[in-house]
Amino acid sequence: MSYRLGLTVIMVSAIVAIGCGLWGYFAPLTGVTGVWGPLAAAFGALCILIGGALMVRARSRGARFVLMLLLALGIVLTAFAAWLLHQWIMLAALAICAVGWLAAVSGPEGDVA
Amino acid sequence: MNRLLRSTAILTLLAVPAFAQQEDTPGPTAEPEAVAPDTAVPAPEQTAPDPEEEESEAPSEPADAGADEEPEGTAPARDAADPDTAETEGATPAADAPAAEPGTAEDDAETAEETAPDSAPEPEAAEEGEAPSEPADAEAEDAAPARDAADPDTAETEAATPAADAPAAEPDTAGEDAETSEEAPAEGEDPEEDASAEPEQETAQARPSSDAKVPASGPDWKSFHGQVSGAKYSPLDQITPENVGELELAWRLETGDVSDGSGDLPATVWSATPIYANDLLYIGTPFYRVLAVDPATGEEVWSFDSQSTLEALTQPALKNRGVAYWEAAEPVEGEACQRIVYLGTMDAQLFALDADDGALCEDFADGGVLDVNQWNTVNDRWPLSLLQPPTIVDDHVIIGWAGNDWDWAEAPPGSVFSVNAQTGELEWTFDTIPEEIRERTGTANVWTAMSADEERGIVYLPVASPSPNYWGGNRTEDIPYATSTTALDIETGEVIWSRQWVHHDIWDYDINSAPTLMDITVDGEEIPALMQATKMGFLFVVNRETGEDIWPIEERAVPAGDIEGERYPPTQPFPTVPAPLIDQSTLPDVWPLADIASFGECSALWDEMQYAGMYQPPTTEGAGAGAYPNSAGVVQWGGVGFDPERQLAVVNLSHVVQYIQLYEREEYDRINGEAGPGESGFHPQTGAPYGMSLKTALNRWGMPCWKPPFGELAAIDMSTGEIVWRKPFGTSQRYGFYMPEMWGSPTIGGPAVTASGLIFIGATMDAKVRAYDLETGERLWEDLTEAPSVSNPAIYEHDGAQYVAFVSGGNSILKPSVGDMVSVYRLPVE
Repeated sequence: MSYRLGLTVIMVSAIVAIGCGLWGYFAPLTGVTGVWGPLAAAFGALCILIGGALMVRARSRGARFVLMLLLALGIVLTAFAAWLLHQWIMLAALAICAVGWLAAVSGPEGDVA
Repeated sequence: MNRLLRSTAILTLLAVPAFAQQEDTPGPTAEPEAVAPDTAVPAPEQTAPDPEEEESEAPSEPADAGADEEPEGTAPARDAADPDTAETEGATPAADAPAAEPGTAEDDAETAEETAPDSAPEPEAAEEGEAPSEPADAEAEDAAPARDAADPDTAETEAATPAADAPAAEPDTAGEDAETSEEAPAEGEDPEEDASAEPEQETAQARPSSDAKVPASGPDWKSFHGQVSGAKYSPLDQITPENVGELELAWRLETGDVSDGSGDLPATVWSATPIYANDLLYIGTPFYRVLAVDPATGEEVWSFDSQSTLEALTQPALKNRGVAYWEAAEPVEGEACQRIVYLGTMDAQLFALDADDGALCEDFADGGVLDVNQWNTVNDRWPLSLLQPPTIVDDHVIIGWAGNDWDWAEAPPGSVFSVNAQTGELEWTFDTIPEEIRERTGTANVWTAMSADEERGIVYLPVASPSPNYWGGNRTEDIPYATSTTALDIETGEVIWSRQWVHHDIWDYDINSAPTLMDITVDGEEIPALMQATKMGFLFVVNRETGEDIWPIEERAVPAGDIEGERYPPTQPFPTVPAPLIDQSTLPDVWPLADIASFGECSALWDEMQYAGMYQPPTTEGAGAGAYPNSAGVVQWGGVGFDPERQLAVVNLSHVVQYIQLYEREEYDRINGEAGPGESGFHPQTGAPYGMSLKTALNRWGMPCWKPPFGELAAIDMSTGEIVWRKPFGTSQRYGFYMPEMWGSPTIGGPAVTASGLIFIGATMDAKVRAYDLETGERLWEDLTEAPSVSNPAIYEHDGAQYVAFVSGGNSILKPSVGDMVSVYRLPVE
């Protein structure tokens, strides 16, 4: 998988995760309706989305390295939050996000080491 | 002949003190209060009120509070009781008739010598006129059953049958009592010691021995706990452990009667259990409305709005636990109100509605509304809130009430009323606090469901603690009925037996759930038993006929405190079997995760708390006294479910650590702290020299400082008292994040069990409702609802299908989540 495809997967899955967080907060009978946990998770997914977008524009290896690290951290923490929130679709989206991250890291333009 | 002679002897002996009592206390003799519990007067004299005295005792005016708080536009009956009612009320037989007061050491000692051992009552005791512990077969047969005593003649007869109604010899064996008295650390020095060393009541065999069993349950759910036995047991078996996983939602209803407290209305706390009867499902709401819906579809058939005031007059929230249902033994077709639904309100009004169409029953009290607050005549600073539906036994509507005992030292004193189901006329009143100290204290009320043995004509009261909750310097005298299970004659309100579970309660350990009646076989002997679950995590099991121990209940030494003017009982009752649901001898360990996350905050708190067991008295020192179990209790009002076939009792429990601190008045005023959710936070105990705070032991992040589990579900084999299984139950949740299942969840609410071997229960923070295998504790099914289901489910059969109904109303004690949802499940329709 290419670097750019990897980034695309990260951003699309992050958008899905944001949607899941908002749905969890606003929809009735999600188990997390009206509490800030799903909003926090949605915010985490938003950070992943922004990180992915920045990666697209980042040119220096150093910036990419930092962004990749932050993305990894964001994906792990947000996935953990989704797990604790029992938001299984969000967790699946973040798993896909992690696959995209791996693809981006291992792609030709993702060589940040 | 022998029986006749014996009965006559007993009547003669008991009639003398009865007569003497009337002479000694001319005015109030007809009133239950007239006889203070510590006067050791046999009960019978109180049972036969003289009609003239009764009239003179009739209360005159409704209490101010009630009048002030009349809901606008509500039905007429808010004013004074109508003359008939007043008359009847006056006619209230002395309900209090306390048994021999525990505090009278000498009397007790004598009685103890003369009373027969619990298990083998001796005729001599009865013949001597002492609290007869004899099963009273003879007397019972001769005596008119108390339940027939509605008319004056019968009442007279009943009064004349002392053997049957005399205060019971203390449930414990008299012989043992005598011994215990001798062994008590400070016998004779302090009445409290007597109370602790001896049974709270001298047991009289108030009614005939009977082989009557707890009646079999039907396919309906006619009361708060399904049956007045409090068993929460359904004989239905369509839904089984094998197919429960297929359960699907039959219908869901949102009543609209909900508030999170952010607007003009207080928050709601809704703990109703729907009632299935008369082919309808009846639901009370925290806006004091009644909905009657189709049990199969949830479609509304009729509704009634009491227009009651929506103010949190006595509680931190608008609360409701549903409605009660009565039907005539032989309903007359075409006549109104042959079946009645009762709804109570925060402002002490009891509405009686025709169960068929929701119309007010005009013959009931004043146009269908009974102003219970008319009987609120002492310390009437707030109304007698009717949040728990009354308990219906035969044609009696037995009414307890809720109040506010954490803000006031002087409060309305505990009372229970029985009124006629069709007319609302007062039949009897039972007062829990001795008359001479009522003005100084209050509550010791019955705010939760009661249970009843209809065959034996006994209603069992779970009585709360007196006010204020955490300081007792205003009530150092014995209050034998406080924090007790007290058995009353349904017809007269006389005490049959009473067991005090906490002496001089300064921990708010209200008895908070209806006792569960059960017929159990122990060592080959079938015993009519009663299990009283408690906030303390004790399950007291006694013979429901006599109050005697089934397994030994011991008085054990407990720590004293350091508050001047307070009284510290040297001992408290501890059951030996079943084992306590939690270990209250020590605080649970600090949870390392919470401690590390808060940089040692939890350890520091543990060091600052005083705790030498659950009866650690409140203090002003350090961080205060550890409250473990906490104020909400190990077991709450959902109580214990019981499967009579498997002899298994089921109970959900919580492990929560709180701490209580007292503040001298000046310091309390300076701190100016705020009240928290439920009864937590700061409360003034106005009228006491100390204000108090009650806090949950959380770290700065809101994590519990004590090790999980936080809640469990357990099953107990009632033939041995052994716990068969116990498992962490539910999941805790904060900000939406679910914690691991092995930590469990604090619980509020209770179980219902079925003949097919299932437990249905909500009760957890995570707002899920679940089904468990009764025999193994395996979770078999769950579904998510709107808010924690803090009541017992209802199980019923309608048109051949079995349904399970949960109300999800939430409770701020668990988490700040409210709901208005009824969810009803059934198997898929083929």
